[in-house]
Amino acid sequence: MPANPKYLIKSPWAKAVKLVTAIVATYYTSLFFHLCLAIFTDATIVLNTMYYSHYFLWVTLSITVYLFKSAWKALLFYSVLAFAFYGIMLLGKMYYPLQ
Amino acid sequence: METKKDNKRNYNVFFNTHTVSGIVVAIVLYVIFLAGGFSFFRDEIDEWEFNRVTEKEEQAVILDFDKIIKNIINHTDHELYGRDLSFRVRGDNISIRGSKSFDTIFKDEAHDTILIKNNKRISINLDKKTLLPPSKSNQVRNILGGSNSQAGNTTNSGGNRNQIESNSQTNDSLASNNRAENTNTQRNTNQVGVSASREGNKNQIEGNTQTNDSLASNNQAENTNIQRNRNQTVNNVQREGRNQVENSTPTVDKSRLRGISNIIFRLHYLRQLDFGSRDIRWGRNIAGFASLLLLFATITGIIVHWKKIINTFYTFRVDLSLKKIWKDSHTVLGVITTPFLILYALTGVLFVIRSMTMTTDVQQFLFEGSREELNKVMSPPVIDKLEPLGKTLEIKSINSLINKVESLEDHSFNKDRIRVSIDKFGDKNATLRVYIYKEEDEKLFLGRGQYVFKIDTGELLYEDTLADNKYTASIRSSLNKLHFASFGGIFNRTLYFILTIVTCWVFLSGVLIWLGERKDNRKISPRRKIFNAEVTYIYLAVAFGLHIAIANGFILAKILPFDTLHVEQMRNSNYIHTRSDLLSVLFFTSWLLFSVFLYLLKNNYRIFKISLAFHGFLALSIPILNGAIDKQWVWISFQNKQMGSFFVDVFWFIMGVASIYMAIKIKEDSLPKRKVKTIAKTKSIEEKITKVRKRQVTQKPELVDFITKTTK
Repeated sequence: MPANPKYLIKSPWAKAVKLVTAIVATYYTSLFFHLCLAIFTDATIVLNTMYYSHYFLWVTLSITVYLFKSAWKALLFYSVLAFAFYGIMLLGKMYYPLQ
Repeated sequence: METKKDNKRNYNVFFNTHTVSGIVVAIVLYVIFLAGGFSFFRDEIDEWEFNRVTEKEEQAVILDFDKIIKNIINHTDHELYGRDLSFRVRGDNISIRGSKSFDTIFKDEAHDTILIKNNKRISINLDKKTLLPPSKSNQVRNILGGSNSQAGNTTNSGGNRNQIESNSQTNDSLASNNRAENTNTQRNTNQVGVSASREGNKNQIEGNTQTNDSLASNNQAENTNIQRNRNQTVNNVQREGRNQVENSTPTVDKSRLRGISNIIFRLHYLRQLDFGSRDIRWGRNIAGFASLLLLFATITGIIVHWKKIINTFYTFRVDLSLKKIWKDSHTVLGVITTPFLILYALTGVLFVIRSMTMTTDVQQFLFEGSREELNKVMSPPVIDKLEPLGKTLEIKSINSLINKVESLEDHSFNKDRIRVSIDKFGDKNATLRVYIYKEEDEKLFLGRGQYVFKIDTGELLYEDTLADNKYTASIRSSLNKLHFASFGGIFNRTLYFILTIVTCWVFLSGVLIWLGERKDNRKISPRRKIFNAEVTYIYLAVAFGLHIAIANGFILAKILPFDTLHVEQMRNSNYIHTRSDLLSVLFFTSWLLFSVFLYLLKNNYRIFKISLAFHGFLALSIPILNGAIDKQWVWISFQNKQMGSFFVDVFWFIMGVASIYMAIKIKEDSLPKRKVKTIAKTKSIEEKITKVRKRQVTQKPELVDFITKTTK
C-alpha cells in the first residue's frame, strides 16, 4: 500500500526545505566532520578512508533528516552541526597545522 | 504508546522516501545497470565484433634496462643526468619519460659563460625488440598510419597509437593526481614526434579525441595491461576493407576501431549527455546523483523491511495475483542484492563525483587550495627525501637490483608489467623504484608491490610486497577492482552480470508495485491514475526498448563493414565522422523508435510480450549472423580458442532462448479465479455494510464519524 499520508508533510515549502537539508546541509556536516577527524587524528588515513565513508555518512544523515517532524528544525540542526564542525576545524588548523 | 506511534510514523515516512526516490531514478538506474552489465564483457565483445583472437604470449622476460639506458645515451641527443626517469612498456614500444634535471646550470669552459641545459622534460620511445629508437622514416610512416603492408610497420603504428591513447585515457581519468603530469607528457609527445607534418598531427589529435573520455581509473598500469592485451590480438579472418591496396584510400586499422561495446560503455555513465561545455558534464553528474539516490533508496528499503526481513525473504508467492509476484520478487531479490546494490551505489558515486569533493572541497578547506599539499598528505612519500650529492663516476647496473626483487617476492608477478623509475639519474643518491603487479592467476586481491633501492649502494630502502597491501595505497585501487570486477576472471563477471539483471528487475518491479498499489486505490483521483499508468508505460517502453536496441546494436555492429568511414559522403558530414559515430547514431535512433513503438501499445502485458518475443528473435539471430557473415560459427570459434567470440555467441543464444520462452509463457493476467471471487465477495459485503450504516446515519446523525473511518 502507499504510505499513509497522515504521517507525511503536506506543505511544499517544508518539503523543499527538507530536500535542501538532505542534500546540502548534511553534505557539509559530513565533510567538516571528516576534516575535523583528519586534523585531530591521522590525516592520511582519514582522507583516504573518506573516499568511502564520506558518501556513506552523507546519505545516512540525509535519511535521518526525514525523521524530523519539522523541516526547519532539521535544517537548523544540521546547519548548526556543520558550522560547529567548521569552527572546530578552523581552531584545529590553528593549533595542529597539517604540514 | 508514544514510541509506537513514532514507529508507525517513521515507517510511513521511510516508505514514502523509498518510493519517491526509487521512482525518480528507477529508469536512469535501469539504463545504467543494464549498460554496465554488458560493459563487464567489453573485451569479449570487441573480440567478437572484430574477429580477434588473443594469443598466449611466450614466456615474458624482464627487459634489459641497462641496455636501454646505454642506448638512450648513445643513440639520442638527450642528456639524462639529474632527471627523474620513468620507463613503461606501451604495446611494442618502451616509452621513457624524464623530468627536467635538478641541476641545470653548467659552466661552459670554452666561452667562460654559464649555460642552462636539461631544463625541459623529455620523452623517448624505443622499440621493444631492438631497444633502439625507431628510425626516422619509420616514424613518419607510423604517424601517417598508412601502409599496413609490412608487419614491422603495423606493430609500430599500433605502438604509437597506444601511447597516445593511454595518455588521453588517463588525461581525463577522474584520478586527478596524474592530471598535471599527463598534460605535460602529452605536449611532449607532440614535440618529439619526428615529423611535424600536418597530417601526422591531425592523426594524433584524432586519436586523442576518440579516446578522451575513458573512465578508466587512476590505476595506470591497469590501463596499460588492457592495452597490451588488445595489442597482442591479431586479425584472424579478413574482411572487407582490410586487404585493399592503399594507393587510393587508406586501409582500416582494425585495432583502432571502436564498436558497440564502447557505445554501451559510454552509455553506462551517460557520456552521451555530456555534449556542450566540458566544464559541466551533465551525463556524469546525473549518473552520480542517480547513484546517490540508489544508496538512499537501498538503505530506506532495508529499513522499511527490517522488521519482517526474514519472513519476507522466505516468502515468494507465485500462485496469487501479479501484484503479489511483483511485490515478493521486489523484496526477495532486493534483499539478496543489497550488498551488490550498496557496493555499486557507493563505488558509482565515487567514480563520478569523488573528484568534486576530493579536489575542490578538501583542498580548499584544509589546504588553502594547494594540490601539492593535499597529495603529500594523501599519499605520503615512502622514503625520506634524499638530497643530491653529486655526479657518480660510472653508471651502476640496475638490472641486478631488479632481479633482486624476484628473490624477495614470494608470489609470482607479471614480468611484462614491471614499472621502473629512477630518481635523480646519475647522482650518488639516485634511487630506483620498482613497481610490480601480480600474475593473472595468482590468488591475491590487489596484488601490487613496490620496492625502492639506492642505486649507488644497492641498499633496499623500502619494501611493499604483493601480499601486504598498505592501507592508504590500496583503498583507492580497491575501488577499481570492486567496480570493474577485474578479479576472478570471466566466471566472476558472469556472476556480476546475473546480479545486474536481477537488480534491473528490482528497479522495474518497484515501478510496477508503485502502479499496482495505486490502481485500485479509491483515494487516488482518476487523473492521477492515468498519469501513473502513462509513467509506467514510458518506463517499461524505455527499459525494454534498450534491451532490444542493444541486441539490434550487436547486429548492426556485425553488418556494418569496417571501411564504412571511408565512404565519401560520410566523411563530409558534420556529425558522423567514423564508423563508431554511425553505429552510435543508429543505436540511439533504434532505441528511440523501439521505445515509442512499445509506448504506443499502452498495455503492460503487450509491452512485455512483444518486446520479449522481438528481443528473443534478435538475440537468436546474433550468433547466426556471426556465422553467416564472418564464418565464425560457435563451434569454429570454440575450436580456434576464440573464447571472446564464443562467449558472446553463447550468451546471446541463452538470452534469446530465455526471452522466447518467457514470451510464450507470459499470460495476460495470472489472477486465479478464487482470488477474484474473494474480492467480489468482500465488495458485496462492504456494500451491504455501508448500506446498513447509511440507513443508520439517516436515523442517527451522531454516527457519521464512525462511518467515515475505514471499515478495516
